[in-house]
Amino acid sequence: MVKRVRANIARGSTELAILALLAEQPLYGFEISKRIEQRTEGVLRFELGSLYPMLYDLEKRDLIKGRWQPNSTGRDRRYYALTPAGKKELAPLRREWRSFFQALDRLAGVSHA
Amino acid sequence: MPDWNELVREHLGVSEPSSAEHVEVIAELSGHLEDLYAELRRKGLGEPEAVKQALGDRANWRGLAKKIRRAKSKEEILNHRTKTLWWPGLVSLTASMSWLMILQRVGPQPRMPWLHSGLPLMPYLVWLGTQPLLGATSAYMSRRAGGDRLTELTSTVFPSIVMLGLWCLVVAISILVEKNPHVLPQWPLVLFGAFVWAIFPGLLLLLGRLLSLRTHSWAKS
Repeated sequence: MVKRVRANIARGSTELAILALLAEQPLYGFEISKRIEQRTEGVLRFELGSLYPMLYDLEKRDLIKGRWQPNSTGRDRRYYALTPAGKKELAPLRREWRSFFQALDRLAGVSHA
Repeated sequence: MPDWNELVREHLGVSEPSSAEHVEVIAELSGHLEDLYAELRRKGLGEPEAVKQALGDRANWRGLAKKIRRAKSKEEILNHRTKTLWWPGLVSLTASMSWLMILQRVGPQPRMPWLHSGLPLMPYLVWLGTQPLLGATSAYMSRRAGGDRLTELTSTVFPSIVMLGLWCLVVAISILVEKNPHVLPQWPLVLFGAFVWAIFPGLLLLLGRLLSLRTHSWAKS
């Protein structure tokens, strides 16, 4: 049970992180993992094994769409962008996480820890 | 520079990619490793060490192949659609039609049908009265299965969509195949029929959905 809750939290946070980043601009896999690592100062780290299955799952659910195009060095990379459905999904997802953290804060004072 | 494509195929256990989708996945993962390798080299790692770090350990690759297969599988989409649209819609349609059949068989039979213009009014009104319940049920089933608003609405009015489709089909066959000369001149009656058997019940199904949403929000608050 605890394992499942933990897995759901990890999955949900990955989803939010990717969608929030792609809301700013289209990015390819490696860029997504680097940005997440930089923005969270290394707290969150997405490697091949966790990033791509999530990207493919989000694409299957029509929340993001991948398209091959050359990057700044001229190599072809698959850039992902939010679809209209993904944009719509992001706002409630943010709200859910905000209320989740607020609830956790009220319960355990995690934001002051 | 290592052949990343070859290495990814080897680690994923794909000797020959069987579809364009496999080729794309391998190309994408190879690109990722190539970028990672370049970054590690910039940080000063030697080639063998950078390759080793970029590839990670073998156990992760087996897990990755499995996760990608699952993520790329179309089955889940079908299951989701079945659960959120087809299943609630078909349950509602079957219940609606069975209920109508029962009412027509056991309900009061008009002794003077000419007074009702051929419409067995009582069973029909009872049937109409139950439509909100069916609409609420299919909306609840779709919502519970994780359907979005459009899917929920479609599953709610599914019986009406089917009835309207059948009505249009019958009218088209009458006009085009049977060459029935009475259908077109009687178009107000044709429209009335569509309204009676599809549109009005559809509105009541939607009313049911609305009531179920209200009940749900009251229960939550």
